[in-house]
Amino acid sequence: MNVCPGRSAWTASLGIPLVWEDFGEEVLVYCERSGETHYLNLTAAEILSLLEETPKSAEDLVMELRAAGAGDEAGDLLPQVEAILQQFVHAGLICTASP
Amino acid sequence: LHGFTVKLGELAESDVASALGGPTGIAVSMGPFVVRIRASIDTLAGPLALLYRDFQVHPEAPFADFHVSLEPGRGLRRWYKPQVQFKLDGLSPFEPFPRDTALPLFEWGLNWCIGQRCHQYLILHAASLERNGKAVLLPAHPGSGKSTLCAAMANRGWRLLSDEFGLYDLDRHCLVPLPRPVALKNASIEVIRRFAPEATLGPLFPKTRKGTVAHLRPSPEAVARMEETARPALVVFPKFIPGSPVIASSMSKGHALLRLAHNAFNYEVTGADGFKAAARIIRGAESLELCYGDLDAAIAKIDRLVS
Repeated sequence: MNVCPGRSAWTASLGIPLVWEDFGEEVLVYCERSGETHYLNLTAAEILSLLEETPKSAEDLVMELRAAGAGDEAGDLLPQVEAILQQFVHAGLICTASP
Repeated sequence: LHGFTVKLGELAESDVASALGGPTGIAVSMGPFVVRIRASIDTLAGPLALLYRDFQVHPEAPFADFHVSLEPGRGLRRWYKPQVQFKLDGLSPFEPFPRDTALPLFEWGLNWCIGQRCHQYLILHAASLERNGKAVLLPAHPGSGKSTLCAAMANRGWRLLSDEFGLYDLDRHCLVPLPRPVALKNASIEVIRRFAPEATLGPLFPKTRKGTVAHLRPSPEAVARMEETARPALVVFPKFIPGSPVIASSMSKGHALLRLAHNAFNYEVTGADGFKAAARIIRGAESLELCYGDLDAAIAKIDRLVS
């Protein structure tokens, strides 16, 4: 599944809550569905946390990240967010939200 | 043996052999486990009595966690190049070993039993030792010098909790001692003989699958205190490099947690509980990599870090 530009909404709420360990500059997440442990930087952790709350598109995420002070322009952040979403899809951490 | 609780070393070797060959064998307390051992071969009693000298024998233990037996090879292998088989609950999970390597087979077999079944613990491939209420975990891959450093520390005032397994109790959040003999391999055997001439090593077992193996007997204190748990204060990932000075490199908690989780035998089985346990260990302890080429220098560094 590819992450395409657009308004697709993504969710990390997949039935079993993720288990978080926040060490400040580092965040680790344990996914019970896959049994995998993931090491996240702060941006990735923020995105995954937002997607655990409610489904969001890449653009929604960019707006929320900018509101939180990340990045100078929306254009800078969008490719980065999409790349992170792509990795989350491969890791089984997110999927498209049902309409 | 009837009706008494005694230490294995208080029995004559012939009595140990006789009891091992009897219908119920010998039940021995090893940390949180009771292991019932039967052996109808004559090559286990001697090394077992020597290395488990201070362990309690329970002739009438109503319950045992593991029922293991060592039996002669089948068919011609009873006589020609005789072999020994390890059995757990009557089933043989391994290929037979040469008859004269019954003790290493018993040790490896028991490791296998614990690793397969004891998921009330996060089972780390780590040595663990304690002093003044603070435990040090030494998680490492084979060949890192873990057992050598562990044996050396156990002979410099540290209480051996365990060599092969760091057993972290998922409910009580502490390390549970399992002070069985420390398996030393190849060059490490002579290193520890020179480092601690007063230490008791069992017989040499050459040409095993891991080369020559000998076992260090745990101290009487380590065995007597094997119900005293401890909390990890330091996590050291050791790496022996010949000639290297001691180099301690701090690790971030995130990377230390990943390394520790990767090191656990049953991380996948314990799931989120295992993740939380590993995180709890890392939160409560300093973590570092330690390169060393000299045992005394490495121990002095660890002593300073813990004090």
